[in-house]
Amino acid sequence: MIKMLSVKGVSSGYGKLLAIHDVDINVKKGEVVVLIGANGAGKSTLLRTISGVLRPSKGQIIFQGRKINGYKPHSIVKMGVVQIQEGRGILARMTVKENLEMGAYLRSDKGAIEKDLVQTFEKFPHLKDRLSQNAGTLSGGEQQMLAIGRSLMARPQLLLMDEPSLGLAPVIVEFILETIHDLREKDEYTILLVEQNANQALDVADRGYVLETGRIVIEGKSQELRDNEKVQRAYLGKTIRSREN
Amino acid sequence: MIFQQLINGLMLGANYSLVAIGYTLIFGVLGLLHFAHGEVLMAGAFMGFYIILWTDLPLYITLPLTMIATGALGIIIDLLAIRPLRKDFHLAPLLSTIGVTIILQNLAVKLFGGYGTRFPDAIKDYHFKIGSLFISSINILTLGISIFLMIALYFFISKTKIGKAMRAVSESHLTAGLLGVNVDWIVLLTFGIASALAGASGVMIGLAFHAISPFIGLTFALKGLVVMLLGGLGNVLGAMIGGLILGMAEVLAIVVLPTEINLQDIFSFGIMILILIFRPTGLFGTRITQG
Repeated sequence: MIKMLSVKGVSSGYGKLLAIHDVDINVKKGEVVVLIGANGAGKSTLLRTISGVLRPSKGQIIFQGRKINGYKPHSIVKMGVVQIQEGRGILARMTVKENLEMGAYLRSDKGAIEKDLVQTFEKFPHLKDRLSQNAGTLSGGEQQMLAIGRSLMARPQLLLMDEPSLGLAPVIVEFILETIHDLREKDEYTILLVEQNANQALDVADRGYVLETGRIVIEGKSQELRDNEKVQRAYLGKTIRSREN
Repeated sequence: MIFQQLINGLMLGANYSLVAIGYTLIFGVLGLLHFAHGEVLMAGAFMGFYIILWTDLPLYITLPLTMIATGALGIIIDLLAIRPLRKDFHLAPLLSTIGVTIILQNLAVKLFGGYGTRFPDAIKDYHFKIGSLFISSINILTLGISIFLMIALYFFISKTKIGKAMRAVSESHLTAGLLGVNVDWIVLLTFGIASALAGASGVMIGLAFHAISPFIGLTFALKGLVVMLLGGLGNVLGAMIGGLILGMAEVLAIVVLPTEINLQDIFSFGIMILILIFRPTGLFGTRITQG
């Protein structure tokens, strides 16, 4: 498979305070890759560094053969890397329709944008009923649907999702993860996903990396991570009793 | 009499609105109170003055030229005085804009003298007599131009792609950037638009009051602030309506209240204090619930 994104030896953080150290990750075309880790492990920092919000103090980020670190977020969006922020990043004072239109901000192919809007409503019928409503009035789950729908309006080549299930009811978390699964299976999107909800994230991901205090400590296929004792204990909530038996 | 005063009040108020819209746009995208905004208006008045004096161009060319020039001035202010400080301690840009105020005002005193200058009559002033009313054609014209500019701006920010990007930037620089919006460019554009409106207002104030001085900036800057608070911070529609309300209220205050002392300003700032106490979100402001 074609390598889409590679992060090589990246250290990054806020000012002089580094939150990730010498991180190496790869994402191939068509894959869903998950970053697992506790609060403060540096997962969001890594996503923000890829999307250009933060500048790495060391290392390189290569997207489709091109070095992208050092570019501003809007230029990186133009190259096809679109991030869904943690906390969804909805424009609360703009309508649902305007939010979706902003997703296609860098596109000028009006006809295709209209078609993509229709597709978005097929995926998220809830949004269609609320088009002229201010996005701030939507429920958390609807806002997450809007955030995903909006990011797809940019026709991203690589989608970065920062904790899409954060603060949502279990039934909605399930819907969101199903959506991610469909995005990969039906629409062939490539997704780099950050999740605290490791169990469900590994269900939809092909591979994963475990971050601990800013470093990658374990990496492997989803099944390998599931079988890893350390992952089970720390992130999947399983005790190691099975071994003692 | 009252009706005649209302027209004057609307004309004055429309100029307050134009200043307040500039404040509110800049406050929206940067969360910054741009103190030098009134001086941009003053600069616009003098630019209009010299364009008319030297070139004798008609108003419909003078006005856009002034708007372009003050728009450029606003962009230069952002580039030189605000952008380099933006990432620092957040009061730094505010203090910097006060510095710009001092520089522009003193520059104007040095260049044009510290006294009032008669503004040339760029257009002939007709007085219509309707019944017992005298209505000045200049007042009607400036009111018309102001309202046209406001409607154009409202259309721009609510319907066009770049206008929507401005609103997105005013909600969150981070989100706008991640949607592909070049935030720095939108901030520059906002300074340009806000300053162009202030420049237009400067020319119209010159036309309507027939006199300008290097110190007219402060009065309109303060009134613009009152209007911004009246309309709600960052609320463009609020600033438009708030300006018209304040202009009419001031003129009516002159008619109704005794005139020995300057009650007009006491009245305006009294309104501001009442708004801050009882409706700090402004007349048209709403609490924003974070999603």
